[in-house]
Amino acid sequence: MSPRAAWRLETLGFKEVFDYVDGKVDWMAAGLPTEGTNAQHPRAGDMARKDVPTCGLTETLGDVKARVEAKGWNAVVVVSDERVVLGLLRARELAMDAAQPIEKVMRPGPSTFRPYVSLHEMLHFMVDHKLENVPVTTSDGRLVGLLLQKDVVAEMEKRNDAG
Amino acid sequence: MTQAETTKEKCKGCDREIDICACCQEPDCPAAICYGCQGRELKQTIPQPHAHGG
Repeated sequence: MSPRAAWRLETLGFKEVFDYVDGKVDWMAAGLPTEGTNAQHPRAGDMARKDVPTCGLTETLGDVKARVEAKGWNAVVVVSDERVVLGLLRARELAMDAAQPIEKVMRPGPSTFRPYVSLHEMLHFMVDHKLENVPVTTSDGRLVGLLLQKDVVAEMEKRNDAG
Repeated sequence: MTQAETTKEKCKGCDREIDICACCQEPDCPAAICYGCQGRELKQTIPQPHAHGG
């Protein structure tokens, strides 16, 4: 919150009030909890699969592909030691020459999305751009998980059925 | 010699010419969007109110 809002809360009797300098958007981008009416809506960070396989730049595609397919995935996120997203391999890249290093075959700098984006907005983007999956990251680029279009559709249908 | 014709995409948000869609990075994307418009549409970037604070 802004410094002014923090001061105002103190005047209302709140004892432990902090000024989060990077702002509300950065707070939400880190997947931290929020309150209020908008907090009820499902968001990308809630649905993103945290167990998505990852790999490093220097591995070979063959090694990564074997590991990933054994777990039933058709996508891998390329990350640094700090888990910052550097690239993405979808089915098309996984089908390339197995002897190639990951760095040569990955999609570099894929578009990433913040955890607080609503599922409704995410579905709209994923359908428009024919994306089966997208990486969800914090605002400093660290991987939160991979959001699958089929998971978003299932969740929206479940919520529609519930009324 | 003929020069290869390069066709640029247009952002659906601001109509500016872009090299490639910022969202899917695929050529000929029917919903091509620039990085700035994508950020604003998903509220991943917000306009800053005033440099001197609000």
